[in-house]
Amino acid sequence: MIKVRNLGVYYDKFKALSGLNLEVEKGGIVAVIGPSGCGKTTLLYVLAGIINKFEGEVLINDAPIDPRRHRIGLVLQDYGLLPWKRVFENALLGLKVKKKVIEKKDKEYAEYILARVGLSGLFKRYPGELSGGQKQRVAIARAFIMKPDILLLDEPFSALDAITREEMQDLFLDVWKSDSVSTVFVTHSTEEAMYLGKKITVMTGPPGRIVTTIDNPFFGEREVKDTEHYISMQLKLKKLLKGIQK
Amino acid sequence: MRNSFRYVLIFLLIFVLWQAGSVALKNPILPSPAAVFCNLKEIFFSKIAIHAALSLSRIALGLAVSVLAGSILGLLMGFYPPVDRFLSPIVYFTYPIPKIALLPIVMILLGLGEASKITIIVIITVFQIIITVRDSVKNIPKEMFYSLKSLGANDATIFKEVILPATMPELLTAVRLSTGTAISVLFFTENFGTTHGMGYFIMDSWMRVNYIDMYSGILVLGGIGLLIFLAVDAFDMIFCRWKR
Ligand SMILES: Nc1ncnc2c1ncn2[C@@H]1O[C@H](COP(=O)(O)OP(=O)(O)OP(=O)(O)O)[C@@H](O)[C@H]1O
Ligand SMILES: [Mg+2]
Repeated sequence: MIKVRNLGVYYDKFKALSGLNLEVEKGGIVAVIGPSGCGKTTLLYVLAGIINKFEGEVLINDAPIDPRRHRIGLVLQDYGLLPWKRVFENALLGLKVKKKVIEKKDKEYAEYILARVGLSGLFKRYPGELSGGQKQRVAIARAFIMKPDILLLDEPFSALDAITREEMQDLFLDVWKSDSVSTVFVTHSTEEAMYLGKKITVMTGPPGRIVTTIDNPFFGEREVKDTEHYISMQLKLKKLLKGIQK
Repeated sequence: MRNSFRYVLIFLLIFVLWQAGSVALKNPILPSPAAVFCNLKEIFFSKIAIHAALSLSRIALGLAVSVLAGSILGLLMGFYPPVDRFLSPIVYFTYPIPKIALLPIVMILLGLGEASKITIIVIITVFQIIITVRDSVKNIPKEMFYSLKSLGANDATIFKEVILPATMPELLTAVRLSTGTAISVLFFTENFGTTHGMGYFIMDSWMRVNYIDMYSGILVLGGIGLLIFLAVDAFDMIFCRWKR
């Protein structure tokens, strides 16, 4: 469970987030959308413990955020892989830092997840020898392999072409469903938000804050039945975003 | 295999040019490569090997100390801004001082033996290593640290997993540059207060007007440099494979 109360963040004098409130229930997945520069990445950095100077309160399972204590799965837009580690070592990085000793069953689980995201046979490659989609698979596998308390994703699929992106969304959802972890998914696409978010949070800024959060009945639906409702909801989201930008 | 073939080919080319030069000059100051090689074969083990071994160990030891001390200082300066703020003025002030001018002082303080020769190599090459390492730590994109920070990694882990591998390629470049410097410096220092080392051997042959010995010595000194470069390359192959 993630609880953010009255969060404020400054970059020097610049106010990036102000009075931001957000809640992700246990096993929930919230898609955060908002215009460029509104503070989405900043919000994730706070939740990931990368930015640790902030006002307000950030709780994970009712304890103040502490990356040493919590297991935080993080997938960044530029993948966040270490170029000098092979795929398998990158995938195990989270576990290695967290528990030092990696047992056989950890390795087996890592192999299982990597195979599930379609990376069997590429274990020995360096990130520089992978395509963008493959790198993103490693980053996602790594986050799941460490069995995180919370999962944070920052526009993980936006650099991919449309077909690969859909494939990755399905794959992500597939793995996510078998291990429902409280998740914040940042995106700038309303389609993606409506496919991957049980709830959709619209952000504005700077300084970043939440405009509204709506329940999304279309979570996980690739073929939408109630198209009329879908389109009207998408329009509503787009209007909200446009309204912000003006 | 193709690699060694390339080396052989390039050496052949050098010796052909050398031969041509010596034929054209017709002066004992440039003997033919064949004469030098015959001489080298004869006197290497009896006369040169001891000098070569001593010089190689001085260079290797000097570089090792320099890399170790330089990397540690450079890493700390790159990663902890207060350390940088304190040490950079010292580095900037002492780096440009021609340290070879300190040779007499070092010799008085440390004697004429090994310590003074190695110390001179260290104080001349260490700055290059410090500055290269410091800057390459500073140039690591900050996003590179984010994954580890979100895992709650401590500084030791961050050093091991990010900073060391990220700076390794540039550190090796600095070592290569320092190797050349170290050999020149050693050549100079081996002319004072010693009767061992390639510097002494080459200058002594020159004084004795034994040009063939002198060239044999120069070849061996080149060989020592080559050996060190190959060792650094091997290191590169092992630790920076991800770069290729
Ligand atoms: N290191 C920084 N120093 C100063 N200002 C920053 C810094 N990083 C971000 N900002 C500013 O803070 C605001 C929020 O940035 P952030 O990266 O969180 O936006 P975002 O919503 O993720 O945008 P995008 O959709 O383009 O990724 C922006 O206006 C940006 O200019
Ligand atoms: Mg962003």
